[in-house]
Amino acid sequence: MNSKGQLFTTNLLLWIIIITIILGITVYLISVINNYEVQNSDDYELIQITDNTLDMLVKTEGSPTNWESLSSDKIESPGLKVDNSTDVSYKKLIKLEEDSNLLKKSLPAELKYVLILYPTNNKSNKTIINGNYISNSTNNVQSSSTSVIIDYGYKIYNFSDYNYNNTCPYNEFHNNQFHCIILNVDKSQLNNGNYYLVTRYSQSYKLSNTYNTTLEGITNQYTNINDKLNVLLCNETNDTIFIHVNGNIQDSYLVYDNGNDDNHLDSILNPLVYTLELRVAW
Amino acid sequence: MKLGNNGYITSILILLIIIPIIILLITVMIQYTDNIDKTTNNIESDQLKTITNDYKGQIESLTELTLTEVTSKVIQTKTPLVDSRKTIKEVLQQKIDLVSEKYKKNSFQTQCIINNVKQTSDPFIIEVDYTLNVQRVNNPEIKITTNNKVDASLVNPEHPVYDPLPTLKTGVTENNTLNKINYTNKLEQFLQNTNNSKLYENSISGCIIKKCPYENYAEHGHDKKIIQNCLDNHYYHESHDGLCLFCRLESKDTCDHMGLETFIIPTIIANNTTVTAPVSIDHVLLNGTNSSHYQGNSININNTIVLYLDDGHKSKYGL
Repeated sequence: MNSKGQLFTTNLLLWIIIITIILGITVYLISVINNYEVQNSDDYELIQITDNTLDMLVKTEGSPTNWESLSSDKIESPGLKVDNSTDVSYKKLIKLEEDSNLLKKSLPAELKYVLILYPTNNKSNKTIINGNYISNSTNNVQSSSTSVIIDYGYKIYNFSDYNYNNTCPYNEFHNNQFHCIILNVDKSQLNNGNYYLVTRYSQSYKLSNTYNTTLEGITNQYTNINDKLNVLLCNETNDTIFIHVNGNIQDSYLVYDNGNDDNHLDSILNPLVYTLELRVAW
Repeated sequence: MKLGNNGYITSILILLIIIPIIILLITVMIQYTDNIDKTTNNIESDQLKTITNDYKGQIESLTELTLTEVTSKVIQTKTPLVDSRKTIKEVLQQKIDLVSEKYKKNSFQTQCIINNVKQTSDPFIIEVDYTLNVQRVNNPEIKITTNNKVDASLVNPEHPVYDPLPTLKTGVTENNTLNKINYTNKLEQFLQNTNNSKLYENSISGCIIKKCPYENYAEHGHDKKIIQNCLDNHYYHESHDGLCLFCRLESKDTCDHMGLETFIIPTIIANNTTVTAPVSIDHVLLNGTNSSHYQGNSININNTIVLYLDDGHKSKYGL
């Protein structure tokens, strides 16, 4: 073989094969990376939609304010947060559960979605708040979840947050281990809702008005004190009421419920942490 | 190129192999950088939101602290402020600047400007308007600018707000720890021989602004227990004629805003129960205009306390 034939040696053919293989692998890998990038971009968009929607739900109050009492067409955004709190509103959750279109407005039309609520310590007890169930086998599902505490709309006063020792006009009660909350009570409040004393244990209590009248009783876990308050208000439209309980004040609460829903009073003594999960898929 | 030399061909071929590998590496690196950037941006945006919320809480707390310090200092120096809003704004700004310095150490450039400190329709609350700019030092694209307002309370027990008016008007020295001012003969002298001003010798009032829990003021008259409790605790009440905190700090006689009033309790009981004396309310007794010390009739609270009130205040407090 003369020197011109050297270009087609076995050595060269081997190199060409190796280059072809490497180029092939490179093209394949770039194609895979591209696909991965496209998939990643889709996933990222889906994650963003999921996170942002869940943020909107649990971190905003929604608009307009009190949207839970409006019809669907007037609602712009169904934020669940209670004003000046990190809790989510039970009334808003119920409204969201009743109106299937509410969440749809906040998500792209072609997206499948489901909003699920369950007690964090009991995952099997799931409630679908909005949307339709998406199984785990569905392709490209993204889910995001956050822990929430539900506010049932009760106005809650914990006796341990108040210290009227030495400043209460009924200070003689305080000498006998009573602690109090001083509250201005309006007749209309009694007509529109109920006051409860919520205590873990049975405790004696005294209710007094500014006319030096005192009514006494013993608490059960949940004691409705509306009748006694009505007696103390007499013919006044409002009065300052001194509410004293004896003993353990850490687990003693005064609760006002204007939603006529006493089914969740146990949540005050035994609060449950829930998980709100949003699942979306293309 | 010398094809007859195997070494050259090998070099060229190796170069050809390296090029696609470099392209591959660059592609992978760009993708990783992009992902890291997205994650970093998300984390930094969350941090900005957290800082914005932190500021809101800090401004409320620092405003209350500022009010404690400013009112305490005015009482110590016994010198009224010329422009109380401006002074409070400046002291608050200094405190906020210290907070901003701390954030700077954490790679955030924050600037919070206190625009305004003003009274609200509730004299126990003042409003602070501020502008907050937060941006990442090494990533100026991530930034938040917000105009916001915060309500600060005058009656947070953690940051007691002292009433400077008794000291500024009469020169009496306050004992902040007892929440009680004994005017000795200072108030009597201030009243300049107004009819029966002598009854206010050794009179007492409170020095910490505390909100009266009896929101319907007429309840004071329901039972002696209630008015006694109000007087014992030296509570303050809303009043159109009373002075707001800013006007108290400036030692004014009148105030256009919704203000506060409290009882000044005489400790001398006149022999004659039909006697009249200047009305036992601070904005009446501590008014620098002599003609403003109008008279009131005596009301026995108990064996040791008699208040003097005009018809308007009697009606207001149900006495």
